[in-house]
Amino acid sequence: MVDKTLVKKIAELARLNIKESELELFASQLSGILEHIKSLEVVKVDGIKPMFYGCVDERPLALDEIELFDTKAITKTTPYIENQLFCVPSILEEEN
Amino acid sequence: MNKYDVVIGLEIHAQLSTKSKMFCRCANTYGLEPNTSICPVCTGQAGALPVINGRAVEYALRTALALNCKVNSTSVFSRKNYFYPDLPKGYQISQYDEPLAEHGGTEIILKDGKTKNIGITRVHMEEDAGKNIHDDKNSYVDLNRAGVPLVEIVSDPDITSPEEAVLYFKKLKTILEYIETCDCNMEEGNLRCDANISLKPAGRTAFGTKVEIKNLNSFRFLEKALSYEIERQTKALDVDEKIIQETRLFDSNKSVTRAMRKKEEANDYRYFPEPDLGPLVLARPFIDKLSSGLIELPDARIKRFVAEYNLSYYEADLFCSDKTLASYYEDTVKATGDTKLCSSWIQTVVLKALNDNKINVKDLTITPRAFSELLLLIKDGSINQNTGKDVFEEMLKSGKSAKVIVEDKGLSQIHDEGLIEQIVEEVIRESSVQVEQYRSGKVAVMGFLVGMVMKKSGGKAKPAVVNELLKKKLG
Amino acid sequence: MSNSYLKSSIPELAKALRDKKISAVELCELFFERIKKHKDLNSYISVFEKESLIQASLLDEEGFSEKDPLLKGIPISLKDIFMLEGKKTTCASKMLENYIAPYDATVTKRLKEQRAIIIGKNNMDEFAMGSSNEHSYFGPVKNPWDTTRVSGGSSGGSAAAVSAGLSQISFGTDTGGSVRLPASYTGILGLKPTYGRVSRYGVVAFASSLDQPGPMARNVHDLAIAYDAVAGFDKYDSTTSSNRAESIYEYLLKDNRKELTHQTIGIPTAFMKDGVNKDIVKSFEETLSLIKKLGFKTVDIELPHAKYALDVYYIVNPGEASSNLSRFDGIRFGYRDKEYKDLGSLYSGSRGEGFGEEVKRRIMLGTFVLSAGYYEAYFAKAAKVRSLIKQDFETAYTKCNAILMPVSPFTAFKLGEKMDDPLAMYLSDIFMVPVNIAALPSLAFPTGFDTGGLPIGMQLIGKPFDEKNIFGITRLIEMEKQDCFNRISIE
Repeated sequence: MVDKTLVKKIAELARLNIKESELELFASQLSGILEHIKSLEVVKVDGIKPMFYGCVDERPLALDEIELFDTKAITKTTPYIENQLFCVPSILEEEN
Repeated sequence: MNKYDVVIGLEIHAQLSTKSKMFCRCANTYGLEPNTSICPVCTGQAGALPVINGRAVEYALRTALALNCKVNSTSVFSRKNYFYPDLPKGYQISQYDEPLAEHGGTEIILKDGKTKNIGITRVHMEEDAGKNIHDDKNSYVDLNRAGVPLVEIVSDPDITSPEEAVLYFKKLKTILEYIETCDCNMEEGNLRCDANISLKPAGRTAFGTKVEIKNLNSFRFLEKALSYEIERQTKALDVDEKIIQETRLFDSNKSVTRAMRKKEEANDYRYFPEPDLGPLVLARPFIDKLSSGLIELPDARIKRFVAEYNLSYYEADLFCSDKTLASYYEDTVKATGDTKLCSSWIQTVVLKALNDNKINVKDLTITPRAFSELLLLIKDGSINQNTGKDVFEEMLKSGKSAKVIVEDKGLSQIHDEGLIEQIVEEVIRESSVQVEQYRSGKVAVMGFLVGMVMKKSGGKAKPAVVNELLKKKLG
Repeated sequence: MSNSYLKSSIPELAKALRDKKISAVELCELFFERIKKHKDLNSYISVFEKESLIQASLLDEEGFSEKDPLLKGIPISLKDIFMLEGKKTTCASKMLENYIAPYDATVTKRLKEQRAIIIGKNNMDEFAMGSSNEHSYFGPVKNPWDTTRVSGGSSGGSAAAVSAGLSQISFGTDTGGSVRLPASYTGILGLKPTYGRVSRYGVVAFASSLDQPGPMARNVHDLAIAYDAVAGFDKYDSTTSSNRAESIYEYLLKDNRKELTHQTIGIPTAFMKDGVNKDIVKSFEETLSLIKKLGFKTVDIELPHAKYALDVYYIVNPGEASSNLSRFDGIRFGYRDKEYKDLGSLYSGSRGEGFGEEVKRRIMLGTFVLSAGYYEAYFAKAAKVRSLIKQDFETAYTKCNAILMPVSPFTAFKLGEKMDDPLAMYLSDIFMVPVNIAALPSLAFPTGFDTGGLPIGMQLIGKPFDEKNIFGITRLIEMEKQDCFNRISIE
């Protein structure tokens, strides 16, 4: 059962601004979907290996060689650039 | 007896010295202009996909093998999801429940000479994040470092003191230098250390509350931070105060740790296998070939030095802690055949020179060959040890060879006994007071007389011969 | 310019260009005229008229010979999910409204190598999440057969463009039916290749283990030529297979009737039993008769876990998508909220404003199924059931060589009909998602119309990397039912 509190928590984790007025609607929609998905509970999967990939072919690993890229094409995609650095509001605590 | 047991585990991140990044082919180079080594993949552009760098895998594997780990022939990359400006995709590609290697260990030598094994829980691969820079208005992100290959080495909580922690960190650095998978330049951030520390009442088995200290990127800081933490936690536990499980940073200016200001609610990283990369499957023969191809590691080299060159453990450890220094020693021994002479000269003269000039043996301009030439001149008596030291200095300054310097400056030791005898007789004539003292039993005065002869000979007399002659003449 | 060229296949157009019966410029103009005429379909987000005409005139100057690739000078369009360097690639989202692609997708690159002319980017459901193309920041796409109805999604714009003759072929992406559904709703063909067959590099990721770019066309030859242009291993996409992609078009030029008709087609009767529109049932049975008439054998097959495929899909796709969309934060590119006060509100404001409702819904669902305490019961469990579904197909393929099924239980519904109930929308995908879950190829083709005049489509599902076979069989069907193929839906 997904209630407004859980929606708020999930929205925070996913960094989504959800308006107070929308919380209830999302809660009921998500609950409905999860209710349907519950059907998987009855499926027996003992000893079954999970399938996380679409294709597990053996592929060669890349050679360690430098390939150049026109970096301006990337720094051009945002106006929030100062001295070639991406600009953000102050990060409070330095982790790295 | 200590009231509390200290339990420490270290997580060390080493940047692998590949040419290109972990999942793209941007250059893995330090010190470039910001955001000049980037591409759609490492900047998390829409539609970009990771491709694994084969050499990074090889280096990570070599590292795991050098740490005596058991390599998993199948390992899985997983996404670690969290939001931070230096993490362009909003997730880091790392390894979670199926890492590259596990259950290894390495030995450290404690002060009392005993060895202790520090277990290694796991070694896994992941990508580095970018760098954040700050001014008083904003923060800024440079993604040159984003995507650089990392190997993460997690120790078992076997470390029981700050000193042991430093020994372990140093050992790891040495091993990485030996196998050449990491440049180990700590100022450039090649090697980074996070520590986990907890205290528990002495003898109790259950661990106490763990505190994490991040970014201890020098041996000094590591030791100070851990010492401070032990003090802080001891004080708290003594008055029954609860230790908060948290992440702290080390303030190197005040030598204290403090809790991070940001409220660190336990991050839910929502790990799941990276669907853009299949499982990493390494064939057993490939792993075995790498394993047998590993160069001689520090521990083995130390043992061999002790056995082959008759060195003490201390000497062997001193030399072998630096791969180039160890090779320097070996090459010199090969050329001169004199293990003791080489050892004493490296310990006193060479290491001092490196220290004084603030350089590494890698940067020493005097090659083992040139150095051997100097030592051979001492060995065959052409010059004495003191002169040798001066010649060494001159070799450093001028870049000339020992032979050339000795010839140019006429520094050859005087072998002509007759000449030396003349000087000895001169000194005896001029130092009647001291001669009298010697003859009356003050044996120590001999040093003064030998010194006088050495001075008169411009340091070129053979001290042993001078000693002998003086004794003969003075009776 | 004569509209008769709209019914031409690519090889026919290539010949006309060689014989100078038409110029590349005229061909382009033909499509641009129609795009303008049928603007209300809203099938394009960007149209590149000027550049395309310049490109076409250069090609005309060069001339066309038999040595040239068949796609040379052919006007094609791409779903606005494919990176096209230097041009906006929006994914029909406010988040990427002004995003200029810094590089080409591999699919784009390979089409450029074939000298095709990319005339525009098609409308789609935002970030490919949807089954009706009503979740676009740029408004819904209308079905050319009945403009009060949906075109299907998420590659609705691509489907409408090909169906209405606003481009020769298009490329969409299929994660849970997003090529096949709009193809069948608009009466054209659409292919979902085997996962790993076509590169996803430069295709904005939705669900990484399910996404496949796929061509859409009005006839089998065009579809084959489009597929051939892009299929095959790509070193920039670690999920592509080194399984060699042989030329399907070359294969189709030969007479393969004998070897093809020796095969057995599987029919998952139990799985298709309920809730299918009776006109679709009728069309399916007609198609079945045709298959038998051609000489194929049929066999009933069980897909016991296929009924769980929808639930597996609605755990896996949001889970992977929630992570794939984390990179859209307004920091390095994309929409940035104007009113942020700190880093936290920059993230949540940009993403809250930049993403539409359906996208937010899926991100939240995905975040939930991956979160601590729920991962085992949802995401990990779904992955295991996924293995069971794949196994079901492997077992079925011991008895048959391909599987025939309707694409959807119903035909194109009215605009707005399912917008209030996300779950009702999700149920459109029921016959398509098992294919994505099992990573198989499937070709959707038109088989007729319902009593309301709306197109019906069937799909032929193949073994992994057996595109050749499903193309071959579809070609045989096309030769028998030519009236269903090569149709232009609107004047």
